[in-house]
Amino acid sequence: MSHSISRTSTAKDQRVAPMKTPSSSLFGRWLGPERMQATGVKVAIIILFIWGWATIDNFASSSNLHAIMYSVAAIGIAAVGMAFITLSGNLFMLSMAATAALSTIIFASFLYLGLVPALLIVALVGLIIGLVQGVVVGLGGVNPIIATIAVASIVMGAGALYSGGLTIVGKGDASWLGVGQLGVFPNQLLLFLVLAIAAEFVVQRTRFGRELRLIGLNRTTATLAGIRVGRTLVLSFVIAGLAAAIAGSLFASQAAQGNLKLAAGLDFDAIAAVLVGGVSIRGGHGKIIDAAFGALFLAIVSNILLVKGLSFEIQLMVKGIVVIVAVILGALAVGLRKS
Amino acid sequence: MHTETILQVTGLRKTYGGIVALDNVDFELRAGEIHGLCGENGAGKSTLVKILGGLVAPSEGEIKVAGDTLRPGKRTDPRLIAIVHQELSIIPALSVLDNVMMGDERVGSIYIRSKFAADVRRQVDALGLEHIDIHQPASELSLAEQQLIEIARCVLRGARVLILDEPTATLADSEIHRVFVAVRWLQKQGTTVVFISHRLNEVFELTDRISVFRNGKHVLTTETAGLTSDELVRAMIGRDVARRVVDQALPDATGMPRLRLERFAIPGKVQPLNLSVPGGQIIGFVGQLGSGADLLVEALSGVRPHTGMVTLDNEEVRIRTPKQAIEKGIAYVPEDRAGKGVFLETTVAMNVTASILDRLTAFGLLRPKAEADAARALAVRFAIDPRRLTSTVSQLSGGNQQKVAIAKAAALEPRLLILNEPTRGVDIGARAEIYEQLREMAGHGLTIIFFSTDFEEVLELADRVVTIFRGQVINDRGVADVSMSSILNDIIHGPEKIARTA
Repeated sequence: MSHSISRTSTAKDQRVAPMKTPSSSLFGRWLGPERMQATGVKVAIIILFIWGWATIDNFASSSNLHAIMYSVAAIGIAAVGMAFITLSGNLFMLSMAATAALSTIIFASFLYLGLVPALLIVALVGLIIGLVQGVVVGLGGVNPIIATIAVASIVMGAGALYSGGLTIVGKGDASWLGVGQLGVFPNQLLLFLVLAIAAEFVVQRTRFGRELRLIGLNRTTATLAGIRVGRTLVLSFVIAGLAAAIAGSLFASQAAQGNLKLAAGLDFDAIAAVLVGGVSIRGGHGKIIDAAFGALFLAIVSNILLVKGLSFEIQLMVKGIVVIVAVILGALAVGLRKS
Repeated sequence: MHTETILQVTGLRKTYGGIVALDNVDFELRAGEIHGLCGENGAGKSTLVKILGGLVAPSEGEIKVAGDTLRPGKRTDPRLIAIVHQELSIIPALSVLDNVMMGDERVGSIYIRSKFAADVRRQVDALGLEHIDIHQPASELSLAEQQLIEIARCVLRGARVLILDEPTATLADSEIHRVFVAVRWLQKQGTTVVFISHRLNEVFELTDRISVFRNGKHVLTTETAGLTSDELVRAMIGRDVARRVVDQALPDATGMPRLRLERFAIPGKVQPLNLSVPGGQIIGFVGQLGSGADLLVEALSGVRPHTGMVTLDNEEVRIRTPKQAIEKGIAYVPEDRAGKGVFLETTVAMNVTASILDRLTAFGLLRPKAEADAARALAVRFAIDPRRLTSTVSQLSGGNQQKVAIAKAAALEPRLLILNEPTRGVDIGARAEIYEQLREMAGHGLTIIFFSTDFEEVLELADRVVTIFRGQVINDRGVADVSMSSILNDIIHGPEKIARTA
């Protein structure tokens, strides 16, 4: 071709001052606006823990520590699942409590086959419930809030039909999952840790995880870039459905019973953990493991209130306040990044 | 006549965490002038505008408007300085009247439309919008009309100084003169206008004086009449940019075409057309907004449905989704950089590798080393400073963001690269770099198809120009055979021409 344009790029590049970027420095990795909240929660966990240890009787007793460990496990697993939905830019899955509730019944019903078969059946049900929502939201483009609330209603209805609204007592032994321990740690807690770390790995290191994050950042750009949007979103809902089912199994295993009321409040608890942990509702920002820390933080807060003798009602109110404060802090951090 | 100073900026300085955005800037506006503000992205224009609007507080310095000193960082009274930003603040669902009155102080707690209708009507008429109904939703207006509505809003509040930040960037050339007419009318009314544009011919056409910023410094202010285009460019980028010289007619295409379209159409928008494009050719589609020329490039990228047959290297391909297009070797750079082209809120590295994750993965796991290597190679290839790979894209200038968008598409090593507005809102320096890179890829056999509303860009970049009027191809010629005026004639008066030549 026959035209000339002066070679220009090198001269220009050198003019650009080398810029310290938030993500490149150690400072930025922990305290940049992007990570400030997630770091803050971790610091708060340590402070709360030390404060509780030093000032509250019985807080550091082994039975109370166990109570914290048990209370964090199921909610933490649900929160990890929820974080996949939030990261993908689909806000929240409001069918987790329903899915977990149905799972307690199915778990109890099939416990006679043994713990592992019962878990597999529950997981299958959770997978299918998640798949349906993934197809409706990810492929059908239905608003995630509406779709998942609708599915919650269907699932609760199905559960009520199946159980007749009654408690189903499992005929079998679920004690490994319910009360079993490895050393001092409940198996439930270990299961939570394993799942959280695995989920974190998946999001950080796999193609699926990268695509999930990119879709959350900008679905249109992702679609135009050829990213497997539909498949990735379906998979994220499947994972969240599975997480809800496992959370339900943990609830059911403690008493080897299934009841639709057992998972009440799980949706909000999981959302609270996700938001407090520092996963942004705008999608694409934050880590899966943040949600796990968020769950731990909330479990400790609830526990301190409980040990101090405050009622469940007060705990609910405090939890709500904590979530609002976390969301405000998150919004401030976004403002900070933009300025 | 222009003697009184309406705005006086002295010693203005702004730093963002050690980076100097404005460096000891003195700047003045004379009452009643149209003042062009030129400079590359990152030169400091937008920082100055933000400070003038009170959106950002300066680190040092003082601003006086009509004798009053502005309080740093406080929103400037819209009766002193009003700004129309490139991204319009028009709410499409609201009526023209409501849009104009939005945020107006005179609207009390209860908004009584009839109180303001006459005022708004008069203002809108004065800006050349007699034909629109002020009760119709703003979404029914063209972009140029929406821009004028926004100008009307500022004028109605009695702005002494009106700053137009790239008002024409998103307008087709044929719509721009409407904005010009309005700006000249404003000047007659005594308003001082600051006009910011990357399109230098517009700056020359419209302004009385021009100020140039470079690297945060105010390097030049002079009467427009005494300045040449080359001098202006030199002041903006600190060196010369050679203009493209086309001294060769389009070579005859021999052998197998890279792309062949047969009866390719977009129902209701673009009539069936046949087109054959050889490898290595850069072909530009031009048309007014609404002509369908932009829809054509979208349809070829799988964003929009089409009918007819597409053949790529002698193989018939189905392009129904962007993903299918990409699988067939067609990569697309959309027109809306922030909304569709890049992932603004993540790193450059994550952006440029987004399309090629399958090549950077083994058994579903990302290979960090391969990813880093690929990102670095793409950055080098597209003249993006590799130190910026970890920067968030939103921190980059428009030019660098566009390079990221193109790098992301080019990473696919496509057979056909499609660009919608290749350099909208990109400064001259980065523009030249992008053209150079695109031409280099074409030199290696890549076929490039682009749509642009910027005729200068079409003449600068294309080997071959296809003009389109109301969904119909008017002309298809080598760039040596077209001119600014022939393009304009084709896209405005299309059919008469066809009648004569047919």
